[in-house]
Amino acid sequence: MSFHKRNEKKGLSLPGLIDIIFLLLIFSLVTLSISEAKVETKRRGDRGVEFDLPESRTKDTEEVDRLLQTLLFQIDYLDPKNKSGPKAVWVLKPSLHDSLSLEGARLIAQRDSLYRPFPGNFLELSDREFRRSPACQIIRESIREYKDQNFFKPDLSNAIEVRAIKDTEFRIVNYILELCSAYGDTIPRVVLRTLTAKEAVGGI
Amino acid sequence: MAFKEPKRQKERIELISMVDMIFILLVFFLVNNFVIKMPLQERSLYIPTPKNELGRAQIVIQFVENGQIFWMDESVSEFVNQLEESYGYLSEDRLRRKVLSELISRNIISPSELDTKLEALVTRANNDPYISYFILIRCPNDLPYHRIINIITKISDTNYRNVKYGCVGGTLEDIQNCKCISTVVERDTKGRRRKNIRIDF
Repeated sequence: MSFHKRNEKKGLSLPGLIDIIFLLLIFSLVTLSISEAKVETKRRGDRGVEFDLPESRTKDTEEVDRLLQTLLFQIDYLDPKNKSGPKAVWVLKPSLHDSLSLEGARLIAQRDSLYRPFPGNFLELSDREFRRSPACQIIRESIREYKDQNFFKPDLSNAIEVRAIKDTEFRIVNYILELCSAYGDTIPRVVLRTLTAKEAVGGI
Repeated sequence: MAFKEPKRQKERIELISMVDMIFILLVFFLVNNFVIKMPLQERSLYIPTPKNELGRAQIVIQFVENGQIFWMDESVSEFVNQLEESYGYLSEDRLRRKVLSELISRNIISPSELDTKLEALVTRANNDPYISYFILIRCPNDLPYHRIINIITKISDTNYRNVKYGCVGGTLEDIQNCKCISTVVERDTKGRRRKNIRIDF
């Protein structure tokens, strides 16, 4: 009596292969996150000794970039939902110990009415009319007031910041540049804050 | 005679397809988290407040409404001289207008050409710490300010910080209607001779 030989296919089974790839992927992901955590620990100078460090009770510490360090003009749409509406300027003033966040300062500016809309047709206005608009007036007065209180002599570190949405017209930024320029080396620089995509994690 | 009923195949989910789907979903969520929702970061760019000193800039970059750029550097002087010799028979006013229109039509460049020129400039500045450049960027009032940011980002990262810049408002029409464009040889703060562009409005 002859037995039938089973013909078993030799080769890689696809489900097995996919499972292996899947496991490898998870393994590499987990390893990557662990190695990053280790690098972070090394950078902090922690060598394995545990300290009972005091903890902040607030939820998160503010990033330095998010803290207000000098007078900042935030230029945005008056109504963020209405992109065709007028733009407005908010005057954000730092607190005494530079510990005020951008969001906090924005709320204070809103509360204290430290914001003014630009006229809808401000591009068509003459220079004189533009300078007389409420938005330009509040910018001019804020710079003068801040300069009188904080910038006593020419210094390279004296700067005013502008945080504007991407499609802000150059006329607005240029007006702030011109105002600071009038003070010569007392306000030698204006800092423009622009949004860029965050660089990938990994650069140590 | 009773017939055997054909065996019904069990309805079951194909494992391979399921694993494939899980895999695709996983990749989708990973990409979604790490790439698409990549958070935006604020970058601070220092802009020196401009001093409108005549004849201070070696390079003038003027934005034009239609996305193009008018570029002027020290080679302007030779070009203007050549044109003045060629059209010497014209009256003074007509000669000035002719020279300006030729100058503008020859020196209007596209954004990609601007990038090439800026890269070459930054390379030159990085190779020689003893030369310095001052670039004047002129932008019309109604253009978005991020156009100048793109330029400043490129020129502010030089190794020796020898490319300086300033921004002012202004249009190409201002240059078209100017009284005179010329290059003047001046000495900078360190006493070095430098060719600067001078525009008299």
